[in-house]
Parts: sequence; C-alpha cells; structure tokens
Amino acid sequence: MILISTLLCVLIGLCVVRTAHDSPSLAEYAGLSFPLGLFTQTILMIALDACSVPITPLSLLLADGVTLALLGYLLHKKGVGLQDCLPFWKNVFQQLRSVNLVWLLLMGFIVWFEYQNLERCLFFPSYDRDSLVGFDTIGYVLSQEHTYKGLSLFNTEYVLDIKQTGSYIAYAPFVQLAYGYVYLFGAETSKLIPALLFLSLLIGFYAVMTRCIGKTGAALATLFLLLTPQLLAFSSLSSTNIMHAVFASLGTIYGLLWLKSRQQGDLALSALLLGANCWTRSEGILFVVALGVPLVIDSIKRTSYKHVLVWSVIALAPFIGWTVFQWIFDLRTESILITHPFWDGEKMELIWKHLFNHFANTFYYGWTFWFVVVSFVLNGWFLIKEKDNLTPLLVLAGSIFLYGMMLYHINFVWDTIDNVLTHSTKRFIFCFVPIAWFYASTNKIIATPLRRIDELLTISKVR
Amino acid sequence: MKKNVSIIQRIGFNVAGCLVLYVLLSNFLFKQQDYAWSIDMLDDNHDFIMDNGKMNLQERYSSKLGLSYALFDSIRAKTPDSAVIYLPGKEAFFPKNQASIFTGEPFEKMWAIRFLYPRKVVTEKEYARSSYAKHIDYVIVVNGKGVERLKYSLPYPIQFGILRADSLKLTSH
Repeated sequence: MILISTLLCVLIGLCVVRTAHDSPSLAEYAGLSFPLGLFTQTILMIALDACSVPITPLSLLLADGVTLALLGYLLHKKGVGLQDCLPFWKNVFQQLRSVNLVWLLLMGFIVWFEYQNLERCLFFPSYDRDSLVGFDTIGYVLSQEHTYKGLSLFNTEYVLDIKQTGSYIAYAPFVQLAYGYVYLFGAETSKLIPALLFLSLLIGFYAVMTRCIGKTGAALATLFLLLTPQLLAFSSLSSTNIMHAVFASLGTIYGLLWLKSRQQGDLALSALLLGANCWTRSEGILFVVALGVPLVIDSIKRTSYKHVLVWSVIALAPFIGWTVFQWIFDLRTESILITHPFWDGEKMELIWKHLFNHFANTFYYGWTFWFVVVSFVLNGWFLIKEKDNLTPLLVLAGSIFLYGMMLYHINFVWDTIDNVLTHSTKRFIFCFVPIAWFYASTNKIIATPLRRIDELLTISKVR
Repeated sequence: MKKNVSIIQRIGFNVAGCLVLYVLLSNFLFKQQDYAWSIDMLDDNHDFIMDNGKMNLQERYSSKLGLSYALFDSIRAKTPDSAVIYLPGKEAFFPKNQASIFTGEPFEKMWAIRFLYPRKVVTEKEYARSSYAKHIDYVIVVNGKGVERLKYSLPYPIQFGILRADSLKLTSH
C-alpha cells in the first residue's frame, strides 16, 4: 500500500508540474513531482479534516481521484494529452547523447553518496528529539485517530501543556500530515518522507542549475550541496528544517529564474513551492516577502500586475489557510512575536554575531558562504557595470536580513536566546544554502566558464 | 576532417577533465576536514548497515535509543492497550551527579506516547493536575522513583519495574 500511495503522490505531482509549467525538463519532473504531490496530499488531508471527514486511506484515495480528474481536465484544456508522454524515451536518449565523462564522474559521486544517505535515512527510524516529542508522534497518532483537529494530543485535558508557548500544536502542519500520510498507508516509520524530499531537492536543484550553467557545472554544484556537512547530517533525520529548505530554496530560485526567463511556468512553480514553504514552517513567509519585493518592483516597471498578484495569492494561500484553520479549531498557543517597535542593542548584536559565526562555520555549511563571498568579489566588475545577478544577491541578502529581524522580534520564553541561536538557527540557515550556491554559480564570472567547459566537453551535441 | 579532429579534441578534453577533476576532488574536497567528516559519516553508517542489515525495527530503534526504547518496548509487552500509565520525571531517568543508563527524553510525555500509544500516559510533571491521574493502572519505577504513586507498600525496595498501581499482581496480560 505504501508503494501505491507514494506512486499516487508522484502521479499527482507530475500532473501539478505539467499543469503549472508548459515545458518542464525531465529532471524538473523528477525533482518536483514528489514534493508538490505530497504538498497536495497534505492540503487534501486538512480539507477533509476541516469538513469533518475522517482521514482514512479510502477517503484520501477518493480525494486523490477527484484531484486527478480535476488536474486531467486542466491539462486537457491546455491541450496536453497522453500523446505528450510518448516522446519521453526519445527525450531521455537525446539527453544521454549529450553527456560527457566529467559529468558522468560527478554523477557517479553524487549517486554513490546519495545512495549511502538514502540507505541510512531509510534504515534508521526517527530518533531525534523534535520528531519523537512532536512531528513523528503527531503523524503517528493522526494515522490512528484519523483526524488532525480532533487529535487526543491536542486535548488540554490529556496533554496539559499542549497550548504552552513553543508547543508543536502551533507548527504549520505539512510535516505532521506527511508523516500521518505514510503511516496511514502502512509504513513502519515515516523516514520515507525526509528521504524522498532530500533526493527531490538534489534533483530539483540540479535541474534549475542545468538551465543556468550547463549540466557539468550543475553536477558540480549539486555535489557541493549534497556534501554540505550539517545539511547532509540532518537530511536523514526527521525534523522540519531540511523539508522546509526544499520548498523555500527551490521556490525562491524559480522566482529568480522567471525574472530572467519570463516563462510563466517558472513563476507558477515558484508560487506553489513558496506556498508549500509556508505550509511547512510559518516563518517561511519571509521568503515570500524577500522575493516579492523584486517581483513587485518588476511589475511596476512593466506596468503589469496580474502575474505578481496571482503569484502572491498562491504563495500566501497556505499560510492564510492554516491561520484560519488554527483560529477555527483552536490550535493556537500564545504568540511569541513582539509586535511593537523596540530597540535592544544587546539582543541585536547577539543575533547578528551568532548568524555571522554560523555562516562562517565550515563545519556547518562547508565552503558554501565562503564561495558566495569569493564569487561576489570576483564578479564585482560585472556587478557594477552590468548589474549582473544583482536581484539574486539582493534576495539572498534580503532573506537573511529578514530572518535576523524575525529573530529580533521573537520573545524567547520557551528556551534561552543563546540556546536557540546556537542550535535552532543553524538549521534554519539550511534554506539559504541552495540559494547561495545558485547565486554564486550563476554570477557571470563563474557561469560563463562553466558553460564553456560544458560545451567543450560535450562530444555529441543534441540538436 | 575538421569535424573528426574536433571530436577527438573533445574526447581528449573529457579524459583530461576527468583526471583533473578526480585529482582535485580526492586531494582537496574529500580531504578537507569538514567534507571528509560528511563522507566518513556516510561510510560509517553504510558499514554499519552492511553488517547489521537484518535488524528488525525494534533492534534499529534500540541501536539509536538504547535502554530508553527497551523500557518502552517492555511496557508495551506487559500492559494492555487500554492502560493508563504513570511515568516518573526527569530526575528518575537522569539523577543528578550520576551517569544515566538512558538516552533521549523518555520522561517526556509525547516521547512516551509515540511508543506506548494507544495507552494513556501521565507524567510526574502533570500528576497533580491531570484528570487521568485518578485512573492510573500501571506505575513505571525508574531508579526507585515512582513507588510513591503506588496505592500499596512494597515488601522490598525495587529500582526498576512495571507494577500495577493498585495491587502487587503479576503484570502479564
């Protein structure tokens, strides 16, 4: 049953990707289908629960059937039919003809390391604190009780402290629902979710980088991403951070791609992925804001507002929907946000000192942020002369700035600020790692030689 | 002729590129201490899995959670699904100034629920406030703590046990 449910997830995701984008590459299909399919499944679960329909395998399968029918109708309206699937093997063969030995070597390393990572993720069950005290337990109990809003764990008569500040009841529901989904279909552990999501991040990242710097450069960047020390370490655990990084980073990158490519599909995928990012962690809204600013500026320059309006509605809908769901069904805790303006120089200094130390720490993120600095400096001439890659730089810097300001406006009642800044902050920074590699690798000074190398190495060109 | 030379050159670039890349990766990237840590972590886990691939789920949990998991596994075996179970607090599992045989947070309610569901759990932290406290069927004794929640006196002190709350009957079910 778990195999069928996973394939169903992927099928829904494939349809979502094709509905959103007119010409996704094979790698984009492979990288985005599972995350977007799973996102859709969790939306269906909450929708069923909101209508007081028990979340069971049968009700989910029926909801999936309706969803597939709707997606099929939308694809039919776009003129997409089964005949579009036929050139699949021709496309694969054409892609394989254009590979080179360096790419093969890099892919060999990536496949081997990710195989080992997938193996350890699937072998060991969830054992990290956050999973056992929160997400995995909630998902497991959901699969037994077939409800989210009515979960016994959310009843203050049973779990007395469930509405205390910092409690898992207030977390955005994607991870808990995703775990519940696999448990419902008979999985022994929920580790399939983090395993497949990290794999999707690697493939999705490779897909977008191929569009910018060629497949050889993309493979090199993907290898660096995969081996980022703490990112790799956490990828086999069950906490929300890696899963959040999948949506936040790819959503941001697709939005930046749209500003260059103007392909509607890129903006649509950006909106969906950033919506899923808010559905995974509510603070993901800062990525919507960070990317929203250049999108709004762009729309003002072009006096065309429809695209950005639709993008923001889709990206913000899950955040708004979850907030409404929380209010209606009383799944809230006391807010930890400080909403009035204030100045605390000591707190501000502490936050930025910790953030700086984290970014510079190669044990956490390898050479990622040092490469950003090197690439920025080397690209200085093109940045000043042509404003090359200015928007990705501003979005990256802007999202980091917003994150720092968000930390400043949090009232750390559930733990000491030092503890949170030392342990939790380093995990949120995972979201910035793929964006950092995207920015640094697509700077002209880096991208041009990489594309040239890719051309020189290609033995047989695809026409 | 020009096209053939070009292809030969490309093949040459490929071979040279592979050699250069392999040398650079294996001497720099893979040897850099932080990336080496990543690779060693993967290798160590891979070796462990190759040696212990036949472990069942309980054994895999135990390999990560140690005696904390074994305790809950034992509680599951000795209590019915409808049981209401008392769990002592943090100081029972991790006494001050003493090394503990436990790992993780077995004293945390949600942690315990993960392994004991559908049984109900009442922790020491909420004992005074919980309406479930009146219905406790089983008491978990850890490092001697928890006996105070029994409705009877024990004829001898115990350090660890899964006891019925109301009488000293055998706990098999």
